[in-house]
Amino acid sequence: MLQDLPRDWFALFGLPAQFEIDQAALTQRFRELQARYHPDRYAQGSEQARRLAVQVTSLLNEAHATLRQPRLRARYLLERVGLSFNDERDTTHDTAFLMQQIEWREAIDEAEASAEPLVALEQLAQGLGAELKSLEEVFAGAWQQQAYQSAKTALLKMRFYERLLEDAQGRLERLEDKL
Amino acid sequence: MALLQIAEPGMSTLPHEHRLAVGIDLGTTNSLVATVRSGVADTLPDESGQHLLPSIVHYQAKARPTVGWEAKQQALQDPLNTLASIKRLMGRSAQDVQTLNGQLPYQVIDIAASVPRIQTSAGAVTAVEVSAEILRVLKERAEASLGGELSGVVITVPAYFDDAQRQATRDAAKLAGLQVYRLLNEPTAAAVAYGLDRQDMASADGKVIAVYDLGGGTFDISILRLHKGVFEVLATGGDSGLGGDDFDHAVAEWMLRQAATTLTQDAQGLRQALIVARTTKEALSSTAAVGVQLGAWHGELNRIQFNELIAPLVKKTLIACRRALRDAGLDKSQIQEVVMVGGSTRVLAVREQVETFFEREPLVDIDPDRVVALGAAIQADILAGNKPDAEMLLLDVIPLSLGLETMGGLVEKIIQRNTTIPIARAQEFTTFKDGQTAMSIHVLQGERETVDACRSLARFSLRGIPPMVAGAARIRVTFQVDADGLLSVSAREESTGVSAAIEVKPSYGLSDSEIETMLRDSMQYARVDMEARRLREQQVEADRVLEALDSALQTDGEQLLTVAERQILVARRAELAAARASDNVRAIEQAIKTLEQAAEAYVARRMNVSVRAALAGHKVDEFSSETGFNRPCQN
Repeated sequence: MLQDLPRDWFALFGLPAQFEIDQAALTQRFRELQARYHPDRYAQGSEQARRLAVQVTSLLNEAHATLRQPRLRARYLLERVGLSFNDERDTTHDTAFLMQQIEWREAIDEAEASAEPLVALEQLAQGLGAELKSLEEVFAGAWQQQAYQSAKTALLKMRFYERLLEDAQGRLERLEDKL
Repeated sequence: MALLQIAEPGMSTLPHEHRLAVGIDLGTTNSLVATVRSGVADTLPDESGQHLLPSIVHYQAKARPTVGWEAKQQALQDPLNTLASIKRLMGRSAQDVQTLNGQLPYQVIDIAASVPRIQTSAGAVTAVEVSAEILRVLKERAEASLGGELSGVVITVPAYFDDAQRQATRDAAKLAGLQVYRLLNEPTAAAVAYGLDRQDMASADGKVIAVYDLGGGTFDISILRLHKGVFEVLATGGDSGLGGDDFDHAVAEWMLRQAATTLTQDAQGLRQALIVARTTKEALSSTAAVGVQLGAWHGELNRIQFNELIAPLVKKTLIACRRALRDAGLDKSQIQEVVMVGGSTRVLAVREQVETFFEREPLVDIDPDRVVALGAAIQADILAGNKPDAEMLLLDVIPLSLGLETMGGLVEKIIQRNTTIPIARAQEFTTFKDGQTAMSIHVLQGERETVDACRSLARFSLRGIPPMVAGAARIRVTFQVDADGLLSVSAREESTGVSAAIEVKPSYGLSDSEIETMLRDSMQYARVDMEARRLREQQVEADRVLEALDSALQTDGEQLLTVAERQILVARRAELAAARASDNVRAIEQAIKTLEQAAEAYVARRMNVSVRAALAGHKVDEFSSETGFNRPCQN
């Protein structure tokens, strides 16, 4: 059954390969595929069938998680058209952007040290979420014009914001744990 | 007799048989077993009509341990040999146990060992063995009540259980001789039992619910999206060491403070204080104030004081709720239903605070003690293949991130928490020395960035890497988390395709050989049980054979057999029926065999007829009394 599934994840979910995505269609197709291949459907099957079901649904879950999440979807689109990524070397040289990043980091430090750190960090996280949203729009525009390098730059910037968001949320959780 | 029951060519030859399957809620305080009969899930009582089995095991020298109510009675007289709340030790390290030691009145030995053991008068036991005793009793109850051997079980675990705790639960089941279909997360089981997915829904997108599950020793919060049989967990959170037991401890400590230390804080004193605390807590669910007596000390505890004592604990659960909402990317207002599960949700302050937090009155319709076992029974019935048309689909998540140790004692996450399972992620490694043939991988679970702050799951050593220059080998290590939330690891050198051998050293938990030894030891007790069971099995088998033969003879005996042939079969049938009535296992076995041999030609003729019928477009059902086939999924 593994070989029956399309290798391309957009094809797998019957969706056009583009950044804007019909979330409802994605969800529906995901549920249909899960209903067919989930290991629970093979509980009485052979050892091999059960193992295969785990493999197929692992793939489905990975594909679904990738297409559902904007940054991962963006990266997958660029990889599909042949752009490669190198996590260590890919970075941005946009100094203004890097300055902004430093400011964000300082803002996170300040929020954590403030009188109401939970509220402040939560607010900051919302701000970061908004930055991510606007970068998604930048990506979508670049993608539409097939300006793949600009799209990639937008994507790399998204990763920066995601790391900031992870940092802010990590601190939030550590503070919560101490409550 | 399988041979007499014929299926269509190309289909499984196995007819549909109703497999006996149960759901087990292996709780901190109480355990339950439930099954689906005539489409309805229900918990199974013991002989005296009790559904709850206290999760307490009493060990005594040279005798089988007692479990449940009987064991509970020993808690006060013999505290060191009466093990309660053992779930809190499942998959825990000796270090964890040390921190719990003040709370658990046991003698933990072998602090240095990977699996802590508790000293009892029957010898040292692990949490896995104690849990296996509880499971064994539930298994016996189910088999006696259902009249046959169980095909498989679904055992529930707290959603927030990590890999080591899940593995320990599986090991306990194995030790108890149970075939585990699935480990099911408790809040998900509760959602299934409530069947909220079936309700009319305005939105095509489904309904979002929160399940707040506060048991005796664990807390879970799960946010699910329900849509026509699909239960999709969006996020889960909790604390696998927080529950009603902690409420008891808070009250017990308060009492001991009030009693001004005239009481000795030995095992018995602590046990006694805990018992009084528990009764006090339960009484406060229905009255505003309770008189308390501990030794010579008398006092009173009112609800306001009690609420203050447990306030920090309840607050912790609400923080976990907030986090789960954040992980699900949802706002409180988007939660359309809140379900309360677990005995500790009977505490009024808990209900009130959950209601205030979610701004919604929670559902408490189903007995919070039983709801989890009921949900597990529903899934067990489906996994057993008893409901081939069932649409139910449970999509659960991994509760804690999985990561690898990198340079400098840091952890790199490879699978984030709340990722839908099953999931596989591969990571590539390389060698850093010329000719390096082995390497070690340290897998951790948790959210923090440093190795010390996460839970060490296992160290894998890869061997048999083909010798190459440094950096040339590309070792692809795949981390697979299955539908039970359990991790397995495999590795392959990519340039040569050589698969590396993996040796797993679980950080906590039992090795396979330790489990084998325990299995052998438990066999000594089980020999008598085994004989009784063997007899029961053969009797069940004899009944099946007799029934199959009768039904076949009635259908086409006249057409397919001569009078003489029929007489022989009828005589053999009578012999089997006679053997069945005896207690002689060998005689029953022999009689079954003889009858099957006598029926061979008949079976072959029936097969031919059914093949011809199928080719002519008839349904086999017309020739077989059996309808409904256990059709394996074919894709």
